[in-house]
Amino acid sequence: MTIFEILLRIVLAFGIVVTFVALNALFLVWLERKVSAVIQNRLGPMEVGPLGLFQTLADALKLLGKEMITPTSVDRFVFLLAPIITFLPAPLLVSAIPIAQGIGVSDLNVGALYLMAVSNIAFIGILMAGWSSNNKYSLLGAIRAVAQNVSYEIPMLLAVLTIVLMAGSLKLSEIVKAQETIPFIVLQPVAFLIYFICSIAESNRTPFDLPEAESELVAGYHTEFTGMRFALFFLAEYTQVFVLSAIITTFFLGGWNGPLLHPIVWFFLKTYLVIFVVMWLRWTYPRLRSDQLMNFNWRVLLPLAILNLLVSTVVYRGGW
Amino acid sequence: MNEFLFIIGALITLGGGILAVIARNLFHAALGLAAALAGIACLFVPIGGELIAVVQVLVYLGAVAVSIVFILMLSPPFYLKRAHRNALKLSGAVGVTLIVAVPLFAAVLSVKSHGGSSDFVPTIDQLGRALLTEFVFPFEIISVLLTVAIIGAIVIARDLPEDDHIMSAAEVAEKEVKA
Repeated sequence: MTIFEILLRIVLAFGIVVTFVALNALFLVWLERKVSAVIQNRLGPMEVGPLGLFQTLADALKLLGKEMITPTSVDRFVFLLAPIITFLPAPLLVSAIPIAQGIGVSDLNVGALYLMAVSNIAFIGILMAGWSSNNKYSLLGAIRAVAQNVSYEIPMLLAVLTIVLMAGSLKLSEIVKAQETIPFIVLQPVAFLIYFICSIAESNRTPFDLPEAESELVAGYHTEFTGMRFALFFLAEYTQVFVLSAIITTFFLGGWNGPLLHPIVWFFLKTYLVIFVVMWLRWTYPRLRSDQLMNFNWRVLLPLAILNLLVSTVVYRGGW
Repeated sequence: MNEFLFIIGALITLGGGILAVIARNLFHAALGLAAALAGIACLFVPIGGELIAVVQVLVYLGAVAVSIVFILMLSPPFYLKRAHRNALKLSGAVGVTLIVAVPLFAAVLSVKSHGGSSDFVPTIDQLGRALLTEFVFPFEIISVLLTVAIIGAIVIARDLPEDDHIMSAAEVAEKEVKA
């Protein structure tokens, strides 16, 4: 392959992934509004398109047309860079997930670790946004986000380690293949619970939405952002929801495995089911307090994750 | 393609490193450090060190975010006027850099280049076996060192005056409920 061909492939793959990310976010925002409406006994958006399906498209167009305000006392360079750095991991993560046997942008040998590593980049972006805004609410939100992410990352990695132990590989396609008969949610229910809770915390969604708690911090780290820059944060957040659900599908629900239907259909069916559960949680539970958040992580999740890893090692790799 | 990746990685590393050293604003310096560490991760990819590249991002970029929080916590507010860098401090910094850089540079130059990328691709399996057999002694020493560092950090952080009881958030909340 010449360098030109390689570059063409990169541009093509990136284009496909970004298009998917954008369309998915439009759909998820609509879905979230519908789910919240059903839970609160309302109808939700109904005017634009059938069942209000084009409402978010209209909202997105409106956001594109809005003025992008840069407040005078912000750190300009960091302020402009922050939404991009926050959004960057979204397409990088989507491109590493195998959708079906051989379908996916890239199937890395170290896939499971790659996912954990790249999702880390987002909160440097959040920190940049919070600090450069020169606004106490933004800074508090950003620092909460970092504290939360750094703590919940540890049990999350331990849960992933358990899955890697079961599958004997860090390659995502191998992990899915290891679940052809029994999905890991049956064999590792504790790891599933730990991973599920931690990934909701990492994506800063209710009940873990302290970084953008609207009753205390206005909008947290993205308070000062307007127009398309705000939309990038929004896009990043909803892609993160998709990514966390796709990862849970891959690690615990057997990925594309399933009877009768096409593997791709199975993958998306499972992923959107997890997304629905995540939304359901958001509209059901209130926000945690900061100390509850930390206590739960360090006193419950972390010991549980270590214990689970030890027990799994003995049971599945102990040799008896 | 490998050269292309190497050049991009090297440029990011150098640019980030220079920003980390010369930036007057500590926050910008920390961001420069993050860029330099990400650039180093890029350098591992063309030589088949995918795992090292990923671990580099996982460990160091997370650490940079934490270090930024410490910078914000421990440094004086940025709007205050800061002391100028005087010649003494500057020459001290240059001296220390030279003491570290000269032997390092000599060591790097003394290694014979194998030329081009090798076909050897280390697997995680091999890496794990090597760490727990051949290199188990250095591995354990690093573990002990890290444990010492963690305990030391806790001891320093816990060093409070006797009567200066810091309330946990739960206690604060309890007190507020009572009041």
